[in-house]
Amino acid sequence: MKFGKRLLATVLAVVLMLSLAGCGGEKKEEAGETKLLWYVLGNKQRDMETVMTEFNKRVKEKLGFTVDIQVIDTGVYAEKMNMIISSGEEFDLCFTSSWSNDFLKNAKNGAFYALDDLLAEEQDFYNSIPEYTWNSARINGKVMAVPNYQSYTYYEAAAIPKRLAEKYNVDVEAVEELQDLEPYFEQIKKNEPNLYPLNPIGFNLQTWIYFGTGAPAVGVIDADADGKVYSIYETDEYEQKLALVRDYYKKGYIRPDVVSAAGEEQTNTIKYGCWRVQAGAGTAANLKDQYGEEIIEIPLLKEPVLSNNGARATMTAVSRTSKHPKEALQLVKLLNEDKDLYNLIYFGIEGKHYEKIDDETVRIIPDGGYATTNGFAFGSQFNSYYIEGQEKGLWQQADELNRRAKVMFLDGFELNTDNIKTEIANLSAVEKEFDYLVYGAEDYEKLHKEFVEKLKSAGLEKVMAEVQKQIDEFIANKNK
Amino acid sequence: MKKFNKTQLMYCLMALPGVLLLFVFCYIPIGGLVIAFKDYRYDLGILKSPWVGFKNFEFFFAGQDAKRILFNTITLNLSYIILGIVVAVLFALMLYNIRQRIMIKAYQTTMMLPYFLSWVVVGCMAYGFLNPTAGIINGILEKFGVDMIDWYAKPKYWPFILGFFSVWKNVGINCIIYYAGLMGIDDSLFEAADLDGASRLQKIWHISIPSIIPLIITMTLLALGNVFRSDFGLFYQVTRDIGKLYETTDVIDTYIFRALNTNGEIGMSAAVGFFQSIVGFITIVLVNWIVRRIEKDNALF
Repeated sequence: MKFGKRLLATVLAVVLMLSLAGCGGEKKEEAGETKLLWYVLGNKQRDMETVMTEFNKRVKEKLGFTVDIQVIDTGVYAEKMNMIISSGEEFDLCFTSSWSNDFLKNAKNGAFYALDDLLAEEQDFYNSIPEYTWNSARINGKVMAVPNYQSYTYYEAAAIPKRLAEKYNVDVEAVEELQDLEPYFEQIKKNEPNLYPLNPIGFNLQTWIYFGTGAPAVGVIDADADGKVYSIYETDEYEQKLALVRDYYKKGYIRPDVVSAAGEEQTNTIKYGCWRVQAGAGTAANLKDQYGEEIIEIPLLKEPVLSNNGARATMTAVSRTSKHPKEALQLVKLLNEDKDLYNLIYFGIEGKHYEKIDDETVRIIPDGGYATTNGFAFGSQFNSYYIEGQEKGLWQQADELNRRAKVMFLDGFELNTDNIKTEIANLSAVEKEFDYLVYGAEDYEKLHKEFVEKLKSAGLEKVMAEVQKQIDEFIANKNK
Repeated sequence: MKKFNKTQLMYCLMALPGVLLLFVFCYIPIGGLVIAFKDYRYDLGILKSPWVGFKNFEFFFAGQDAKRILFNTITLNLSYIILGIVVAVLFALMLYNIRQRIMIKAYQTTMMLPYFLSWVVVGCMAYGFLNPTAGIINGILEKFGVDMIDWYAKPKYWPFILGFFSVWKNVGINCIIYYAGLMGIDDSLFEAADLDGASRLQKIWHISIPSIIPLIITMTLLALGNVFRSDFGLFYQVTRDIGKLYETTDVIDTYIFRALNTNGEIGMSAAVGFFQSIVGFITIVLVNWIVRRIEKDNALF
């Protein structure tokens, strides 16, 4: 009997432990004191606590509450947030974006708190960043997140190492399109046995002329103010591109195993004579940093383009489960406006985690215990100090480009997929199936026909009609 | 009588944590199946999200590729299940006939190793072998004067390549199960067979194999339950998700991943999961029924 009792106790203990483990994520709230919970992605820092104490001291002073910032490892952030959000856990703020903890999906499925009413009281804050960034954050007409302001403009460019450009006399100024680089490819093929002349991946037709609409395979031309939709894989441009890459493949400018090597990225060593980059303010410095030599970016579009819904790259959302949405927004606003506070959470404490080289530039102390790379997750990146080696005035430059850039006519358009969900799922599948066509490894004529055929039977026409209808309505409303 | 009850109580208590776990993680989530019939939204929750009937199922069954995908899923999975069992039993029998303990351990460990590799690693290894320009296999072919083969552009080879990797990765763990079964055979049976002058093959055929038949049937039944669910890593990582190969390697799981990972339709994913589970359930019941008709003792339930 004694044994039985002991066993019972053990079993109960196990059960208790399991149930306790299940409640591990519960939020502790001291009586009368508001403490917000904020999830961001990044790497956990050894000295987080020191920084948080200081951070909370300042927040408490200014706003009267404190905050618990939970840093989740970047690699698992999306997965963890998916769990947290779908289980309905109570939290206040989280980082959301197009690449991790997907904004569109969460906002559409109702995970976030609509901020319009709160923002109406914060006109200055609202007006501090361009309207189109808010438009990126709008779903069904409601602002679902605050963009963490950063550089949004880019131009499509071909990158080639300066060393090679000089060696083979490339007249960079004269290059207007990829074809103008053909003599250079030929030289690389002949004289640089360690390099493949061209990496065709990413030289995307869509971003040259056609812009996405939110539905696969359907695009618009920005210059068309009437907003006619095109089936982008049936256009002459697409066919010309297939012909061009096929030609290059046959001439040996493209690596023979391009189809299976598609996932292999060029990281720190240069493998190609020419590859595509999205260039913007500061890209040249980054590229130099990455490859250890100077890289020239040759713009293939003369005008800087605003990436469609580019602001979705970095945003902060208030959770629908938050009990303190107002306070949450106050905190976000404070981090966007108070440079010292922003730099505290980004770089830590002066003298301990970083040292100042001059007013605007800092050097991070190695082994200081606080060296984050996730500044973009907390607020406007233009608040940040420059890190040693970064060009001064970069933020002003980028901000100016942001404000000058041409806004697409489709800006703020959000496709409502309710009636075409099935078709979109199937179109995405077909699109992915034939994506290898643009690598040039196969004769494309027959495959291209098959591709178009399959798109059509997956419901392309229905989707095009629906997209056209919605764009027409959008334009009509806009001109009202 | 009292003593018997106490023991029984103890067994019940011992089973309790397992039962609880099973209940929490396997039975309660069954309720979540309703999501397959709903347009799920976080803010409305599972119960309040609007019903949409069978709409979530449409995209998969109305899709033009449904036939190809179902065909691939069933034929590939079935053949890998059968192949897996045959090879595992074969290896178990071979192990059983080895007398040196140290060799048995050595073989077992070697066979188990791939089981602990993730598919991502296996995918990279496969790429090392099959890479069209720098791969080992094409290197060998070249030495023999055979033309190189661009493996990743030739769908017809892939059912075999994937079959090889599937068996290679899983043979160790399956083999151990059958080997354990063989170890349980009463030695006196073999002694009696020796007295009767049976050959080694005869002993295998008349004693070893019949003894592990129930085990084989159980394992097959369990595997069949997942016949509509594919090993995602195998079909996604090893093929490097190359569109050209979909013709022969596209299965339900990879198709769903491709079609839904951009737009995050929870309802549609749930619908396919629902379908896979139901069909798996029917398959198990059906096969079990057939087994019971033939040999009652071998059935699982």
